[in-house]
Amino acid sequence: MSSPSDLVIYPAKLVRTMDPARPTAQAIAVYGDRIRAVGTVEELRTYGDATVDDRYADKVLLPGFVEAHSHAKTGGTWRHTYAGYFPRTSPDGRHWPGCPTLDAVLDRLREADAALADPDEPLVAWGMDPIYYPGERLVGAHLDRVSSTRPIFVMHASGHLATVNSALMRRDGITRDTRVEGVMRRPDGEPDGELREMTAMALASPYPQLGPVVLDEDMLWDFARDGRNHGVTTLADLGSRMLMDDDGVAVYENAVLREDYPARLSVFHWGLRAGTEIAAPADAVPRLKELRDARSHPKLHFGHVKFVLDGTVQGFSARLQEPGFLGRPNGIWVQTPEEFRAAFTVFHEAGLMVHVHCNGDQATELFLDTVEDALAAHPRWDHRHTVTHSQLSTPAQYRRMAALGMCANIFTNHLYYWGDQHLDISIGVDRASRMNAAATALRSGVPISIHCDTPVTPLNPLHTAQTAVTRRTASGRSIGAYERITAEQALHAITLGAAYMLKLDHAVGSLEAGKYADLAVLGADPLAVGDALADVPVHGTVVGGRHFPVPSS
Amino acid sequence: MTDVPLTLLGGYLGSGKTTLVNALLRDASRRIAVLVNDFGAVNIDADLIRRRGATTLELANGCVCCSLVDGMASAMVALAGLDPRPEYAVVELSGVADPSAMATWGRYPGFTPGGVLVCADAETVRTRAADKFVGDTVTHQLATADLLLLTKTDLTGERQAESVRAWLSRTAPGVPVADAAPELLLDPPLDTAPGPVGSGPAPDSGGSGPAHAARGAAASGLAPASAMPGSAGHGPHAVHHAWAGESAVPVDRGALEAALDALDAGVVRVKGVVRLAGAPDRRTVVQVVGRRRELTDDGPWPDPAVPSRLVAIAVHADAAADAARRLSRSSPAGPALTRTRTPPSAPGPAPPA
Repeated sequence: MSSPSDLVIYPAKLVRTMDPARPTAQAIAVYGDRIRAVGTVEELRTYGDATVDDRYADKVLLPGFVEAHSHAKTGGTWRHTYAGYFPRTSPDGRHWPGCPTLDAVLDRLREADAALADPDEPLVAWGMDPIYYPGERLVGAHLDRVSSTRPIFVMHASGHLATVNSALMRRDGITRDTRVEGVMRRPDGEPDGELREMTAMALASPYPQLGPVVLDEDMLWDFARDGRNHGVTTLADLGSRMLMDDDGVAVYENAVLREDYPARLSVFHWGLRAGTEIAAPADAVPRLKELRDARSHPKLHFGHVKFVLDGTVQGFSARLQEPGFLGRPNGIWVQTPEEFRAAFTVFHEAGLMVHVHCNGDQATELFLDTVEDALAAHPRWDHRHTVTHSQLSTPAQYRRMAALGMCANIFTNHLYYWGDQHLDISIGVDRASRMNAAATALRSGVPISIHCDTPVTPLNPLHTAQTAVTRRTASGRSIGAYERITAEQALHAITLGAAYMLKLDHAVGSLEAGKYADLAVLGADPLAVGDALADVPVHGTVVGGRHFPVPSS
Repeated sequence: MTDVPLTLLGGYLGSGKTTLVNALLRDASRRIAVLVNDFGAVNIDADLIRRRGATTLELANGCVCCSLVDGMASAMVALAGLDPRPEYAVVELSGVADPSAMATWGRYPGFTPGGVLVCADAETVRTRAADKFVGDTVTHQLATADLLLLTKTDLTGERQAESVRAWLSRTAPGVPVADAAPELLLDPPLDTAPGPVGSGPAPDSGGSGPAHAARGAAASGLAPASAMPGSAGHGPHAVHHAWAGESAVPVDRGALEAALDALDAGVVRVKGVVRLAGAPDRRTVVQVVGRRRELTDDGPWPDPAVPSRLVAIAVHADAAADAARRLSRSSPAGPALTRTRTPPSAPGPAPPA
């Protein structure tokens, strides 16, 4: 299918294939969108006439990273101002320093205020996390120092609180007479600008707009650019409410099928039936099969299904088995076990793969029971049903996952971003040391990946891998040293491991002849930097043989 | 502008919430807005649907059904913006929702709490409460309700229903239990014209409307409550009873609160607008939903000629008589809330013929 002149040889400082049969090479040969071979330049010249392209001669090439739990709507969050503690990079490549103090948060808001042309347009900020500013509390009076006229709405990182300024309260009628619970007050009875929980936050007009975001093509572009900036070439959108009609699918097609779109996507169907726009499972099955069989494209994959069973650990809303949270009642089910079982069984019988959000171990237990029953009634091989998040899955549950042929996609980033809270507040040192148990999973023979769940935590697989290797919290504390995995295992998890649970391991995740030419272009070998994987510079990606350099590099 | 009472209707999957909401919408004589989780489960005859939008359904009888698909915040903003405003709003929560945690929405601007009602399925509730995955969820729903609505007693028979009632009294101590009927989702209407209906002894008759009501209030004599049939098919306890009283004389707050606190648990709803002796120029709204009791100030009293009014719904005649006895004593002038009347139709939907 290729003429010899299509063959391009890319010599590199090192090619690390993630294929144990040929783990490293000096160069990689690409034809069209595929890998011809890896080897020495001399070996690769034997495959025919070839162009030698030296652009990566001083770079280290790995398979493009695969993120098996992320959300395409992440791009939408950057339409608002980032005011978080941790540094982040927006999809346009702009580096946003973290805000180490409350004053830095206010400075960030002042910049954003100055950048808005319309004086009446509300300023909406996200990511502000008060736990990093102990002893201080962001209230409306702080925000009034940013603007006394422009409404300002600052969403806290927890999602449970917001702080607004006086201009917003004036405009939206939040006064001393507002009776809604959660409107916090000064001693004189006037609202102080802090709004706790949804009912109070909903008094602020920007809040409902922060709800379910309607995905558009711009967000999809930003999603892939974010991937490019971090060496990611395949992204899962877990999951989408837009697949049941052609207009929704067209949003994906119009972006992803463009040659210059810098990523492959696997779009999961959102199986949780919360309203009219989600089809009943029996109706979704033929549609998903049609999409999978007739509408899939090398860069755009359909056919898998996502469910959510419980809430979050840091929000005390995950479903835990004994002994539960530290001094708090158990969390919430997002849907009834009966509805989940019924819907899962339909997709399972139809031969589709299902990933299920289970943060707490009781959610994992329900999923395992469900899979066990479904397999007894409808045996299937190689289903790869996946426990995603799997934060508190126990050793016994990992043994069951292995027996049932399941995968685990582990929310390793939690160890860094919320590890301190898990140690001190939500579940305590012992259980926190066991959470996100990648080593236990591997010892049990469960195929794993590790993930970020962007926008929940930033997309950056090398940082996720580093966290799996070090198990250090944001403050530098160790959280469960015996669940550390090696850098090789971590790199496998963010490449082939993730590809496997997307059923794309035949096509991506390692550098093998015949697979897509998807590369992460790095400044150093991640296996030669100790545990400082996140310090390895990402210069860009190659997707199907096309080059996507990070703009700044 | 009067705040819209917001009822939260919870209960586990299959506990009968949707059946109640469908019955409420089908037979509504008041303009009711309903928020539902599963839009597809609203089962309304096509010829009753006036307009069907992406997230709203308008019925020929003026009721509106809104989807919760975009979240509670979006739905409440949409609900608050309805024109004309509904008289009443009911939120049908998902089977795993914690209704008591959602009660904060009753204070959202433009709304007032209408009670947290939880359906308990007489067939399955005990099994569900023992389930390893959802037992705590179900038990919490029951124990934090203002009022429990027992459903499917027609399928279980009275013996099991009685056993479930006894179990509920231990599992959800202090929460009254009523056999489910759609009218229990709403406050009883205060503006129903007095008139003799029902099976009890005829109340003071003759005339109707406010003029008569005022005259009635001046009269004395407490007639027993009249029976008021509820919806059929909910078991032998599904006959609800109403009592209504009026007073031209301001009502003593302490006496009224004491009377409300002492009400028989069978008095499941009380709604009133009264002039308190301590604030005779103010409207004070009285509301009882199961064990929830509240008096709230609602602005100035419009017209001294308008009497204080209270309406109570009870699940049996003894409870209605208890309401009549206690509430009629809560005026400083003695039995001033004195006139019994029975609404010509059940509050909310008309009972089936």
